[in-house]
Amino acid sequence: MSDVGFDHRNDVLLAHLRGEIDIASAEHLQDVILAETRFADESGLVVDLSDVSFLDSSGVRLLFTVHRAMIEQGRPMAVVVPQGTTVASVLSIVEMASVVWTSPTIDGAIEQLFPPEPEAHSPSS
Amino acid sequence: MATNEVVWDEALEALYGLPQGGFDGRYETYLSLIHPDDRDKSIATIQASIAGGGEHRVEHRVLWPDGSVHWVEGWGRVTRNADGEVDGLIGVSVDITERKRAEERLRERDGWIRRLQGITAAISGSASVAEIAQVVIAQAVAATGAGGGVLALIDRSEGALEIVGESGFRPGGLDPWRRFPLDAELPLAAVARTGTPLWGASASWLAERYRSFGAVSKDGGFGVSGTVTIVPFVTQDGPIGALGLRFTDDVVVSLDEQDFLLALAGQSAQAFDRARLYESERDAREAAEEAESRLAFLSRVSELLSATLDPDEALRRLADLVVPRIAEWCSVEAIEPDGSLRNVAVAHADPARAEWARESRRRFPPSPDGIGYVVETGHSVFVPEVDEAALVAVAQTQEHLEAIQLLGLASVMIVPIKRGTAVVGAISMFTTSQRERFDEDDLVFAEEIARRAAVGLENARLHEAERRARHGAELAVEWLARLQAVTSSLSTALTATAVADVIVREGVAALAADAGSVWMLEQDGRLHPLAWRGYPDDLPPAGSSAAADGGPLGDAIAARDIVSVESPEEMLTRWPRLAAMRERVGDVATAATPLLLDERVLGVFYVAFRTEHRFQTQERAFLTTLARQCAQAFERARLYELERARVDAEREARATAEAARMRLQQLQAITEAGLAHVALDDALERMLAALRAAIGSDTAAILLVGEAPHDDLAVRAVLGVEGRGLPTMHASPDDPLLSRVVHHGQSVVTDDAAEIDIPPHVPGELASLAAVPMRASGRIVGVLHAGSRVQRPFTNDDLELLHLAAERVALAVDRAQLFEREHRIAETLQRSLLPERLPELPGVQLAARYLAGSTDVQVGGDWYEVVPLSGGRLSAAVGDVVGRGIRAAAAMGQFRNAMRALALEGLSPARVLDRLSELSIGLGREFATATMLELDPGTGLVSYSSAGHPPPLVLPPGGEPWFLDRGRSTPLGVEPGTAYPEAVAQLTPGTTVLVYTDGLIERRGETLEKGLARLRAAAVGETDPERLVDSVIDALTGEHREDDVALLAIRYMMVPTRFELRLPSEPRSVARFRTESRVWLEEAGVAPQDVEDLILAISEACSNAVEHAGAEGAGVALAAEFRDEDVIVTVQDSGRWQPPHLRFERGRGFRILRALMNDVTVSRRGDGTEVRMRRRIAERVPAS
Repeated sequence: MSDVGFDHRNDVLLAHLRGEIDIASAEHLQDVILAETRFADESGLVVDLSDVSFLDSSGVRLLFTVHRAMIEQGRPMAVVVPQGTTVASVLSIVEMASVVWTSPTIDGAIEQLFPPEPEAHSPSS
Repeated sequence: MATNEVVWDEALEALYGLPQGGFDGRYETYLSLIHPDDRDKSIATIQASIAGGGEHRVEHRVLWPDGSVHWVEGWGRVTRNADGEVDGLIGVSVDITERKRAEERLRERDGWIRRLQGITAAISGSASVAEIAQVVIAQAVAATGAGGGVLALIDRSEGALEIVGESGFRPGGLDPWRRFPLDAELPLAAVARTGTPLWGASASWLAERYRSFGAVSKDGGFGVSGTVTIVPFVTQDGPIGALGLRFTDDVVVSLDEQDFLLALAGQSAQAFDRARLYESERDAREAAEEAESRLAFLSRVSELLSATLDPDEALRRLADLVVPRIAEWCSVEAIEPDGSLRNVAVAHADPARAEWARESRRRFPPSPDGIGYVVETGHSVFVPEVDEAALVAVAQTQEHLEAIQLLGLASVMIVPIKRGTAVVGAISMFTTSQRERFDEDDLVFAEEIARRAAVGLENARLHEAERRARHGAELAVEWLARLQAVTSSLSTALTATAVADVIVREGVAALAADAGSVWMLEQDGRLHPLAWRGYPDDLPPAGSSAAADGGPLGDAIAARDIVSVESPEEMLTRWPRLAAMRERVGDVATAATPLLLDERVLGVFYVAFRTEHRFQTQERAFLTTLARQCAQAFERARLYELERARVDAEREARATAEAARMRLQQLQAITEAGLAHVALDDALERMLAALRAAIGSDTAAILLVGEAPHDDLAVRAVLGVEGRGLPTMHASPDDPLLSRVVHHGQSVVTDDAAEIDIPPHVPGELASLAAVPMRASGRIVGVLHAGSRVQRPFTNDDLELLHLAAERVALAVDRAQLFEREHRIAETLQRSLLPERLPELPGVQLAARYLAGSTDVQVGGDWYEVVPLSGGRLSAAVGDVVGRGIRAAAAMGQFRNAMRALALEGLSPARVLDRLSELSIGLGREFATATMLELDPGTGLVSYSSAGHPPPLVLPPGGEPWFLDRGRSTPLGVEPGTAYPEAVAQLTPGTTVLVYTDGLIERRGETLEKGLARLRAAAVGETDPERLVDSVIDALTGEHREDDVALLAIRYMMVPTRFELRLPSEPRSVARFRTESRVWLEEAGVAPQDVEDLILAISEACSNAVEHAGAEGAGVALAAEFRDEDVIVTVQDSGRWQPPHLRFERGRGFRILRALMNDVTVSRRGDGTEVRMRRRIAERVPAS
């Protein structure tokens, strides 16, 4: 069983995936995400895998497909990968990080998309 | 007197033999008449008389004009004038001659005796026969007034009489008669024969009586004209000779004279005997000395000849030795190989003539008659008396003759020097007339000298030949000695560096080389200097760290033999690139010797000289041997270092074990100091009751001090108070009563109720209270107090009793606490020796219990162990070391560890017991029992073996319990070499095996069968391990166990080793494949990471199968199984076959598979595709 929920933070669309993502669910989830991004105004997408208990190459395919679509739309995308999980090891095997920004946390992922402006430092500091 | 006139009367004139008126009246005439010997004495007497003025008396002899002697005695006195002055003498004289003669005769006898005594002294001082004879003859002649004497002694051996002394005979007159037969018809012989003296025989009578006497007498020798007296010398052995005295007229020997002569003869006979004995001894001694002297001389000859190795020198010394010992003049000739004679030595007693003798030899070579004869025949030439004719015969020329005549030769010997039968030389010896001539003895002696000379010369020759051989041998010995020195030094060198130091030091010293070094050949083929000598410290020796190729070191290694150069030219020709090094170091001649050990080159030994050096054969041999010893020593050093490391490790291990053992022992000491089980509460209550009765109090209580820092006081026991709730109370420093007792150790007695309402456990109705501290182990452990509800005094007796009770209570409490503590320690120790937790194994459920004996603080020896083996099998053991305490615990630990190791090694149960039995013997025959079993959950087969241990109980699900009672043998360590039997049983799934120690079933006075039956009854119907062990313990053990108990329950569960699932070929099937697989894997105890990875792989493979499945409705089949340490998964679809590169066109799934699995193969199977995957998994541990 799996599903996806959406959220917004600043100028970023958050897609929270949940459950097991396999051949039976991936295609459907992919369609939902792509549809959502198409209507969203946010300039970036973060796919959150924190609550994904299982993910195989079908899920990988989903992520790459969405990522390609976002690039085509000129919008950056990042993936939140919970560390030490089977999901993380799968993504490591397929070298997801070489193509898509990844981060263990949502904040980290957003920061990847839009790095904060460096603050001005006082001369004395 | 003034007139000097002497007036005599006629009678006086007669006294002086003067005719009447014959005296002229002169004083001088008077004096002249007095015997000259007496004259002075008479004058002195008269003078004294005149001076003294008194009378005087004189005795003196008077010489009459006819020559006869008469004795006269005179008396006189001085006359004085008117003035009283002496003016004259007046006296009378009488003839006393007759009286004097009588006196003299008397004195004669006395004289004989004195004379004899004098003779005795003279004789005893004379050592020789001749001397004694002279004394005897002189005395006899003097005593008797004989004209001559002759003394002869008998020579018994020859039956002759020999004259040994004479006196008063014409010189030479007796020569013809010096020696004559004893039986000769002569008076001397007759007296000597018969021992009968002859006194004063006349010549005529003798001539008549002895026929030969006339001839003797006529010949004039004895010249007898008067009488003859002959006295025999007789000893106890008979006559030994006689003394003859000749008188010129017919003297008759007086009786006194006869006595004297006989006494003299008697004394002298003994003296002669003694002297002759002495002389014969002396002769024998002299002969012996002479022989000895000759022997000494001969050995001196031998010694001298062997002292020099030069034959000529030996002969020269020989000649010097012979002169003057043997001859006055000696000449030695050697015969040359060509037969010619060569004078080797000439010696002469007179050094002045030695040169002349040599010259003579030169000028007149020896004649054929002398040496020529000796050389030719090998016989000696011996001329004892050289006469003119002989000289003439020998002389070669007139000049020669004159020369040898001048020498005055008296005697000549020429003896050959022979080697074997061949004459190689001759010794000529001469004496002159001044010396004794040679006799036969001298010849024999000379020949012996020559013989020895020959031996000496031969020895010298042989010696010379031998000398060369020996020189070689001595050289070898010398090198051998050096090698031995090295060997002995090496024996103390334990490390390679020490060995190298010895080799370099000894090697350089032995060769007197300038430098040396020892190099080790390293693994990488480089040489590393280990020790060197003769180089500055900062200058590495020749060819430092040189590679093994090139240079003397490399060449020696390559050649496996000594490589040497002896000059700088040779060195530079051979190794041109060493020129710089040579300049720097200065080695000119070098030898590099490989250190070989069994054909293995360990390194090189290098020696160098700074000057040219020719290496001798011995030196090479020495170097080679030294190198061999060095190599062996290296090997020994290496082994030593290995051994030392091993010993160190062992020692450390032993020390660790020892420390552990010590700790256990200390623990045991503490433990054993404790008491056996004490029912403390009972004891305390009894004590309080007794106390209360004794002092008549209402209450009695014991409060114990708790652990610091709280100083809580806990009521341990109380009597006389309602309710048994024992609160813990705090004794604060402010608490006036308890603080005094607890903190200050004071006893408190009070009847002030206000003061004693403090103890909350004692209701405030107490009126009086006495409290004393309880001391144990030097500290206050509590308070004992007694209270009264009515006011009463506590007497000193009461207090004393309280104190005594407190003492005993304190002790009991202390010991009880100690016991509790120790019991806890013991149990903790026991548990620490047992497995902390049981392993988790797929298909098996385990439960174990250990219960310490409740009445004992000692550690028991019961143990159990479970060891997981490969393939899911397990090995389990339960054992019991007989005995208690640390020893049993230690043995138990060893058994347990050994069992683990042996089981993991793969030994079957019986073989493990074999080895444990050996271990038991090794531990000093620790008597122990054990059951070993091995269970294979895959098959349900259990193999087991028992060493005197109670049989395990088998509990099949829903079936009757039974015992694993085969495979039994004696306890461990009973019989060396026991081969334990092994039995196998088949278990059905769900069966539990209960293994236990005898503490579970044994009861005193009960048979084993009864115990087993009870166990069976208690266990029946229960297979869950945890519940089983608990219920069995509940049923079989009481609260007070004497023995400890160990038990282990093993339940064999069916483990599905294979999993199969076939689902329709549709996407949602994939999730189901995952779920079902996960259940199977987790139940089988596969580790979580393995499960996750396998599930992912299965998901991928199944996804592929679904995605590419053929006809709608076709299925996907998943099969998975454990195979050893692998999980094999196959996923098969029934779709059409497509080549793999098309199947995994997107590649990611396949890539994931390959990352997760050890093997992935994709193959055609039937009309579909099969993906086969293998993954090596970690040890399976089933989830509990």
